[in-house]
Amino acid sequence: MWPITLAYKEFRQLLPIQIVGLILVLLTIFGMCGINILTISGNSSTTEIPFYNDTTAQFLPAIGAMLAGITGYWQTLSESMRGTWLFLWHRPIARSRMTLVKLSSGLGLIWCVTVFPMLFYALWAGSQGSIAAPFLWENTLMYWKSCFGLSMIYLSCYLSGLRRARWYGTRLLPVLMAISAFLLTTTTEYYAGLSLLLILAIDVILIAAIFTQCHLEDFS
Amino acid sequence: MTDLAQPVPSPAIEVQGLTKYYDGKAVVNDVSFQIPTGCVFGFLGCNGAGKSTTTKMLMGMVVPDAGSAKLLGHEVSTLDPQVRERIAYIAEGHPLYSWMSIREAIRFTKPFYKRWNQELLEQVLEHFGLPLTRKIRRLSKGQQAQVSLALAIAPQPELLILDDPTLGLDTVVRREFLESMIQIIQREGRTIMFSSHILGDVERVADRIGIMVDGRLQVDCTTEEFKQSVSKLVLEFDRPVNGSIVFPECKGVVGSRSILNQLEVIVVNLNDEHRLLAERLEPKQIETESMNLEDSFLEYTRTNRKSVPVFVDQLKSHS
Repeated sequence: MWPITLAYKEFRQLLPIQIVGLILVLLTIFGMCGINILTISGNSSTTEIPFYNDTTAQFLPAIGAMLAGITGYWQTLSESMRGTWLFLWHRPIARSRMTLVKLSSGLGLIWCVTVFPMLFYALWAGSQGSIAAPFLWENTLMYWKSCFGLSMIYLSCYLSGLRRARWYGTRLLPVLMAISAFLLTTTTEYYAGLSLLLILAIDVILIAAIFTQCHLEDFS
Repeated sequence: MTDLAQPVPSPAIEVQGLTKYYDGKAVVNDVSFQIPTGCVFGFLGCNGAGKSTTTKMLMGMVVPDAGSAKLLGHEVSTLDPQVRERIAYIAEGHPLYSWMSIREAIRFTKPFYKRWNQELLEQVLEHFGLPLTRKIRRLSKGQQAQVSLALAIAPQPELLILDDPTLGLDTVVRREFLESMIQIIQREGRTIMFSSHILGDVERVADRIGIMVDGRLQVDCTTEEFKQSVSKLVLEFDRPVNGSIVFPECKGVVGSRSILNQLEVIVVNLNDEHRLLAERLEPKQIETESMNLEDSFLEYTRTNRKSVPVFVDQLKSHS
């Protein structure tokens, strides 16, 4: 039962951030479909094929990266600032297990915000008479890569928020590393398998670092 | 003949040489003590003396640079969740999720425990008159402390560690809270360790006290023993003293100060040697004044550089 209550707590705490993130993602997608909600004149700009264009390659990963970063920092810094790590870590469950639930909740929410809009779009585009151009899954490869890549940004920000360092340079080091890897893996259409392997390897390193830090960090 | 001697229970808390450095400075320096099972231990010290850091090291929230600690006979560094379930901890400032209501805080905390006593929790909440639907952030500091206490005792812990539980509470609420705390917690012979910088609180409820001064544990004895061990010698002269008369350096003398024609000397474990030294200064009159705990603590810690440790054999003093 405790994983559900802990996940629910994370969900409640992250909800405002995710709502803002979802609105930004939806506005971008609607914009690509020619529906510019924020444009007062109502004139639509050129219509693009969502998830297979430059906007998808640039704006959506940028929004996703911001969302992932804020989520990671929020989950750690809000506990530090309120002193609630002391409350949470005293519960009779291993810290690694609680951390796993926190990470799953954060990552799950980021994925909901970034992946669900695409799935809904795919569902709509796949229905008869909805769109002139056919929706092809292989066209969404770049978007999928950026979705997977967000985990690196999220985990690095979580680690950075958890880990106090002597100065901000060393504290931000994992984030800089993750951003570099994110750019490397999401700006090319080629080497999809290799990119995913790299993302996976970096995720494993970051998760191991987070688990270690949970036991080495001074929580006060 | 059958040996009827009962085995001596292991101490609820055992600390050995705990040390913590921050920026090269020892904020907790080689602290060792034991708290017998069933004891109420008041952990005293001025702000920055190292109480909170010591408590956090005990709870595994801060990693010590040296030393070790055992809670209920188990090493803190490898404390099992099963053992942690038998220990309650209320951190300084009563950190709770402020967006939750009291009911939500209970719903969040309860699933972590196997031995959750809902009836006891409800009794305590009713005793304090806390409305379940009220958000934590809307509660006063005193009410937040009461919620923390209710959540801490619901899993029926054997050991309670409270880090300055009355911090930020006004006098009336503080007294009420402490009295309820002792009544609720200790009725089943639980061990309690609570830190405070308010002496009156400790005097009322603690069997034993420990006093931290500059990161070192300088006192570990029963409350009565401490009160008896710190005394004030008042030497009255027929002329103003104004620093012209100085009490000689001697073991047990923790400080002295002159007020008009009086020289006040604070002494730990007053003995004949101190009296002899006082007589040699040829005062008109020598008086020995008894001190309450608050005065003893203030005098003892004010002159902390010369503080003389007061330790009494734990088992002997607790029996």
